[in-house]
Amino acid sequence: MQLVRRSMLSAAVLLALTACNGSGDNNIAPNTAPSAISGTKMWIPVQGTFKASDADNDSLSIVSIREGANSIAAQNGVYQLSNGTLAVTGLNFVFTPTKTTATSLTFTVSDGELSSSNTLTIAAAAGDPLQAQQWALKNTGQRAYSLSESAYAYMVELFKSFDQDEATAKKSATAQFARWEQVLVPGQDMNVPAAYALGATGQNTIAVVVDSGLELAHEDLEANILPNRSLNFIANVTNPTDPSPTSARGDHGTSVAGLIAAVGWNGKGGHGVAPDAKLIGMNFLSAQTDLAYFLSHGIPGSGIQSSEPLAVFNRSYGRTHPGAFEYDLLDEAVQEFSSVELRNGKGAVNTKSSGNSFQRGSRENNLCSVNGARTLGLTCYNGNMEPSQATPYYLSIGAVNSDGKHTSYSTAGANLFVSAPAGEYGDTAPAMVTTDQMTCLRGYSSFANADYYDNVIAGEPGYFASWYPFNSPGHADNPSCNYTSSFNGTSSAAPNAAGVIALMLSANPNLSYRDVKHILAASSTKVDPANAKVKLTLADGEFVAHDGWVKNKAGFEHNNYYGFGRVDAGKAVELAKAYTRNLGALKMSDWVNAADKPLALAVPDNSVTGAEISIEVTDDITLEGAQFKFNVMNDEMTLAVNAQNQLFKEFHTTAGIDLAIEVTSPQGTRSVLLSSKQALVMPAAGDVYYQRYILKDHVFLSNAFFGEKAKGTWKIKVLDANGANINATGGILNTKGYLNNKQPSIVTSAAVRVFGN
Amino acid sequence: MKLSTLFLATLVATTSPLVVAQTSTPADAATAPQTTFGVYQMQPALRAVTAEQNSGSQVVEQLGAMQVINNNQAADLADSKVQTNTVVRNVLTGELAVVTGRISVLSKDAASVKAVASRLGLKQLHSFNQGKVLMLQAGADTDLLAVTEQLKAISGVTTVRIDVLENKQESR
Repeated sequence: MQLVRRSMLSAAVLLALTACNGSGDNNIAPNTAPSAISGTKMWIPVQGTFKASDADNDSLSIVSIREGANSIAAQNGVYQLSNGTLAVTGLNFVFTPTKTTATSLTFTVSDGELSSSNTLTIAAAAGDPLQAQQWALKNTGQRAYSLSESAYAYMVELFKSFDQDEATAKKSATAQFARWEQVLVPGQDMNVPAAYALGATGQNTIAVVVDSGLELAHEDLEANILPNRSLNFIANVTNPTDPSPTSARGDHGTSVAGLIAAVGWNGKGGHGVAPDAKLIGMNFLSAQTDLAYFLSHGIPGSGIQSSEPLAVFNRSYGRTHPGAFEYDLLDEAVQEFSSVELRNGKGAVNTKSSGNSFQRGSRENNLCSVNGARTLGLTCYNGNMEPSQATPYYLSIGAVNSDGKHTSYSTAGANLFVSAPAGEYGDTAPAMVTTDQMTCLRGYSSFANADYYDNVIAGEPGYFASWYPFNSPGHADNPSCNYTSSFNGTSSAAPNAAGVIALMLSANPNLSYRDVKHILAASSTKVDPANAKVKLTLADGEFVAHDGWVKNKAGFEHNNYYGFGRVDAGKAVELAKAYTRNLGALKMSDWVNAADKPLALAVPDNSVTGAEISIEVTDDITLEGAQFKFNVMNDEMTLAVNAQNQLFKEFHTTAGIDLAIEVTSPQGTRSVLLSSKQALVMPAAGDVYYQRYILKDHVFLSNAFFGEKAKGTWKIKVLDANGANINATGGILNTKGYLNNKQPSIVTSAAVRVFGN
Repeated sequence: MKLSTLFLATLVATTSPLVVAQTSTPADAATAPQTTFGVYQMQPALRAVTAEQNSGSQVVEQLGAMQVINNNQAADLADSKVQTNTVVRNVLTGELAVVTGRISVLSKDAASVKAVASRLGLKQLHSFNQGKVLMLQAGADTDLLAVTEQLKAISGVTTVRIDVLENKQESR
């Protein structure tokens, strides 16, 4: 027992000496050494370890971090440094640079009793000087060169010209700026750094910019451009692999390309959403033919191999025509090729800008202001008016602002898939900061554009410099005018979404184009959650022309302004990495007609009664989309020319403008295909034009039913939602006004086609 | 880049819409536009040439590599045929376009199309999507309306389209 007692005592002493973390006289203080972090990139996390050890093998922990004289408090183990965040676990850390400045901090390590301090030196991270203004990537509330001091000064002078004294004018300008500044909302972005943190930067992907051109030698694009792979479709050019533009006042494609894949961390300009993606340019808009169109979908002969990691074709273009185009089966077959054959059969994604005609197009003149569409918040041109927006193989992309809400211009429709940042005009609200034709001799940032604005647009010297200071030659942040701060439109939204898709496919190259759609639908952000319905009062009731957000029975929420919401790169990449679903081959039904013979359903004027149609679908398909095809006629919907062979209609009909269509799925989800008050002015057209047709074999796409079951009864209602003349004038038909249609429009056919898994 | 409406627009807006006359729609004094094919109307007073072929004529419109100029030897419309470099006008947009001499075909029976195309002297440029889409090249003097009619007559052919060079799509 004694021996036992002695032994136990020895053990107890030994244990006490070990457990007291050196409370005894023999404890040795921790030993530390200078630590350093270098070679970092903005927003890319790096792991490291504080150099510390303890001769006693005591457990060590970081007990303080000081940056200069400031002691920094950790929140959940994360220290907010002047140039990044430092997440600490034991002696390990993850540093994520948020600025390109260097710093040095003092860390203190303790064994519980004794401590030791040393320095952690953090070298400046590689970055891009304009990255901090790229709110679409990470929104900190930055102005992106809009709402500038020069603009403020302009406003003060403007108010003074209204006979306000200096003080009052400044007060007025300040109040106006405060209203405009409400669009600056931190956090309303694509969450791109989170994607980078997961290791996705666009590596091993290719994006094709189908546009006006692409300046191959641009300082911030060149390193990402695949050599000798671009196409110039203009016949007989010296180098058909060089689509570099010759335009004087900006090249659309060059700016689009920068949004997708401007080179990152090279100390030049900003960077693209997917800064490690590779680029090919095709100047389809500069020589539009069927051949160029086919090649721009990667058909044999385009130089694109089906084995290549071709992630996305971006198409920031479209037709803005005040009439409905017949669905084009030939175009659909071309679109299908890119989605089915490329990337070893997994398909390339096609992103398409939804259009900039929410408030107005160009050929309807004042129609959508006079008929109330603009005030009500109804889209003047519906995205579905353009056949390529209604195909199963393109993703239609809408545009949102730096407050997350709908831009003033983004064309709405049930066909929208997702939205992405694009902003307003870069003057009173942020637009995109992206690449521009190099030098101040050409481009959006150029002497030529300054002259154009000052002398043609505003008729006022200095206007351009006041409102677009970054674009004005001589700006300190844009000394060679190689960048612009005023690029916008759904032309910007589509490439931003394309960049996110490149990130997804760099994270998981096994995803098919349909997998990408599923992930985008599941991961996008519901912006503007309070987006309200728009209700119209007709003679006998109320018609909801815009539903706001609609949650379908599969749990997806869709909005005709936003699709499934704004793309979230971080979430999308996270889901991409974890994706295991197998969708199988695409199932697509035949067109299911409402009847075997032509219909003759009258659409009552100004009535919620409408013409009602039911179509039974028997296909067992989980929906990835549904298309609806209509023929709708009205004898007043005719096209004419005057003696000078100019389109002319002295008084035109409201028949097309008044048309509204709603669809209810078998599971009870409602989708508005046409809201009424849209610019359906011209008779339908396709390979020919169709007198007396509002819609001729016109196809609408709705994404609102994504994930629902297709099988069952689809209910369609076609309405006429107005009973009055519209006092709008001019436009493509040079009309003196629109007379309410005297005879009802007639639905002569309706059909449904569903597709999915 | 699009132009901002800015605040000035709201400050100076003075919209005063006309009141539509409450009369019945007069019979259209105008007539329906005539087309040669599709939505296109032939423009025999114009012709398309390359810059190298243009010996100083004023360019009416530049379309890709083609320059549209006045045709000094204007042919009678009735005697004209649609062929490579024929200038046409899109009646919907009012824009000029130039016929390329190529024909796009969508069909379910590529073999039949190829056989007929060969008989018509059309060269196959491209075929893809399991042969559903074919692009054919006609000779410089081929009457494109005539050959397209024959192609449309083939069983299984859905679409036959005369390719034109045209600024249909716009950047956004």
